[in-house]
Amino acid sequence: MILSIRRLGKQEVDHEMIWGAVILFVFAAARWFPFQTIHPPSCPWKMLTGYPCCTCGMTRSLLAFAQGNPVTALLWNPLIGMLAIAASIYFLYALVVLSLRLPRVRISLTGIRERNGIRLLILFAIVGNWMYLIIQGR
Amino acid sequence: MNADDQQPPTPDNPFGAEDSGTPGNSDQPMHPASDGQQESKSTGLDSQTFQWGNEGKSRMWKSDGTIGGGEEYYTPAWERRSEIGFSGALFKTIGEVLFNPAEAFRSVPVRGDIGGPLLFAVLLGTVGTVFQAFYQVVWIGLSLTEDFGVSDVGTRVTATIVMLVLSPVMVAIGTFLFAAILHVFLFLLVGANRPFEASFKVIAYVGGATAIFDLIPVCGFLFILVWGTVCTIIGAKQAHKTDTWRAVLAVLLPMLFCCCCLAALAAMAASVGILGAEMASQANLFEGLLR
Repeated sequence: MILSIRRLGKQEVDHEMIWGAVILFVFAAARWFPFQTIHPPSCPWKMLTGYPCCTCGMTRSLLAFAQGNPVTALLWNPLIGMLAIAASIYFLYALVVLSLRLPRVRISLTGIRERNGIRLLILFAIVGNWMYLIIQGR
Repeated sequence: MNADDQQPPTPDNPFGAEDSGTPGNSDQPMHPASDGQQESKSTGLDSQTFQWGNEGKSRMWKSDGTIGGGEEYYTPAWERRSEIGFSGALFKTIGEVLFNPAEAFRSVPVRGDIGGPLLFAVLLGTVGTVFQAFYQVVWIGLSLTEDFGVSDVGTRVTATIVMLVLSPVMVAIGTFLFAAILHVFLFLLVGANRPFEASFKVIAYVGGATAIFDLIPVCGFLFILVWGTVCTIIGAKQAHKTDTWRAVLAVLLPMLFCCCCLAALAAMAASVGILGAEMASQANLFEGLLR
């Protein structure tokens, strides 16, 4: 794994700008849009199988996090709760580097083992989160 | 193609894209005749020019006969709109993406200029939303819909208008989010052989091109769902130079398991409209219009 801190190249994509804006929009939507006034469609997976899908509780988790309840967010959907916490940290980082025009942090995976490790980590997170939701009966 | 046999990523690629194995510049696409597989010897056609499809200038490939040597590729028509004109590039790109996605994404460059594809998606996505909003208003006028539990006609009309106004932002955000989901699943399936920009361009161009199906009332979304899925699979396969089954799974698995993501996006879209409707009703904005 290579961690580098450097300036952006001329044709390089400004990930901090893009994902900072996306995170801001999603959190703003979760914070201020009146989700409680609508009736979103039920989860088709749960209707078919009787078990929650791996993203069940995502909206409620995001809403809880945006309203300042990270613990509730983690309880609704641990994966989404953790992603929301990570996204908040990334947003703060993006805000700092963009406003102060600082060099960017870039991480690249150099070996097959590292990539497979990350893949296993993501799979474990998805499956573990799903198991939690099934056990909790969300 | 197994990424384990391939070159290490460059430091500027945060996801560690597994390179396609093409000698030379990794940004360059592969031999058009190789279909993702490397050839080991010369084709025997030195310094010749091959034309694809019916547009010689938009799809032309030059080679000195050996893979990785002297190749010259042309970007999609939309990314050359300053040369060939705005409307010409727009319609040519729509045609290429919808009717020949394999070639449209085979040589798509993955470095720089994601603003162009984003503009393509936002422009056409907004046009599609305008038509859908028009049909929605007509349907409301005919009292043919009953969705999301919103029964008040004024609220529905205002919701449609507010969604219309915010649609460019929502299309842009949605494009980035769906591109990220596609790229993560390709990465999990060892199929992300090129950087995030490749996934983004596939989603942006397919999303923009299929948005013209919004012009079809009632069943337009079915065309978008079916044709868009097929084009995204083909695009992901070609843009990432990966196997078909990996592309199929990377596109279909999120649709199968993350159905709640789609429901949440739909809910968010509806909420935007309802929030605007509530604000408008407080200000009595559309009172006169609805009488």
